[in-house]
Amino acid sequence: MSTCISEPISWLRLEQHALAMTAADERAAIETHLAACDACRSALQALQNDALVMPALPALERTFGIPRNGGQVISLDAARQKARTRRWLVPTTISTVIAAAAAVMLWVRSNHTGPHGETGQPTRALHATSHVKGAGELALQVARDRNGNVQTNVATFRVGDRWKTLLTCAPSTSTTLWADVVVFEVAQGGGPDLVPAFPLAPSQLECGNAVALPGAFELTGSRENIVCVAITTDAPLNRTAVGPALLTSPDAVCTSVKPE
Amino acid sequence: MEPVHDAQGAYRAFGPALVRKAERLLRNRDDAVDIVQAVFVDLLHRWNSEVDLPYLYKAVTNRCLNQLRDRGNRARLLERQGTAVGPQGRVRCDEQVLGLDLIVRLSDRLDEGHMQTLVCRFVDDMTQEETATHLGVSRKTIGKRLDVIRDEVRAMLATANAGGAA
Repeated sequence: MSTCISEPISWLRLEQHALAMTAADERAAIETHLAACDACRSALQALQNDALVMPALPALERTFGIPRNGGQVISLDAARQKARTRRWLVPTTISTVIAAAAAVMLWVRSNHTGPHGETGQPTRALHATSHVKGAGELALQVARDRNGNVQTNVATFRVGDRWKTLLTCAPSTSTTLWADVVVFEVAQGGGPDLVPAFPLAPSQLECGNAVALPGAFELTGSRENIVCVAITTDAPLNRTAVGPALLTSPDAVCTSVKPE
Repeated sequence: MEPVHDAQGAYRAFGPALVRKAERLLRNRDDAVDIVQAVFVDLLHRWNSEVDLPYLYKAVTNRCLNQLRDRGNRARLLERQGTAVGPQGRVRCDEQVLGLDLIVRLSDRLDEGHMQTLVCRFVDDMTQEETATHLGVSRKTIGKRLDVIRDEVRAMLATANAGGAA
């Protein structure tokens, strides 16, 4: 780039100029300078030629669904939005997501009786993001393959769908992490089935952006399923000790998937 | 340009300008987009009419500097910059264009105010007066900060040259 004839027009002023945000006198001064200065004219041209289209900004707190009995709004969508693990979550915005997650302590309020039979009581607090020991901030996303159409922004299943889990966490070489997918089926009364299912073999996790765990699985039945990924350090999960407490454990991330 | 009333509108209107700004400092576009998205995600729930392009410029600068101070990130950024177009720099520090590696090293030695001043002056090509207005400090303060920055750059280059000669 050539040298400016005097003090250059800053990039901020050039951007404002290009956006027609400058006042008339300022605009005239800039144009006078540009007419005489190759360097600043090239700079302006460079930003005008930059056809950058911004990727969509996640609507973090968009909610859907209102509990039938009033009270707190169910916002699983918000949790999924936060867990929607685009590359940009790591590492620059992971702290942002976690800060926002504090506002998204999601009480998933049941439309049916709770695990102990109490009607309308909150049954569980699912979190698709968590601060997991050894892994730091961790976000879960599920991906559904339906006849070759792979989608990540989904929360419903049909028989025949294939599912994968994607995790986002900051890379670390200091700890060996193990990930294990655990699926609970929500029982008739609202609580999770006491018997967890382990559709995949445990696998070592190398953190990164939307890292897919090996293997795919199917969901069956006519009830809501809760898909969790439990993280352990140094050794695979002790499956015999797994129960519904995993749903609220800080060492797991979970999301809900319902039948269509 | 139409007035911007919310974060989404500002993101559409100012996002590209902010990405270019972050990219000048970080030397790669992917990280620049990440930074800008993070800024707007933060702003979604506390948007107010005071938020304008200069404000967002400052927010992006701070995010970028945090990124550079993080040792995990800086190694990755330095590695990635190898494929980026070299810094242009219409404003130079003692005829030295401040590249990413030098800025990274300076971020270990200079405080927040000095680093913000460095970015305004040598990355965003602001005048001293514009820098003072942008950062809300006096022109005299900016002058002093720039003296410190120049001294640090000279010292670092002298050390590097001595190392190379040895």
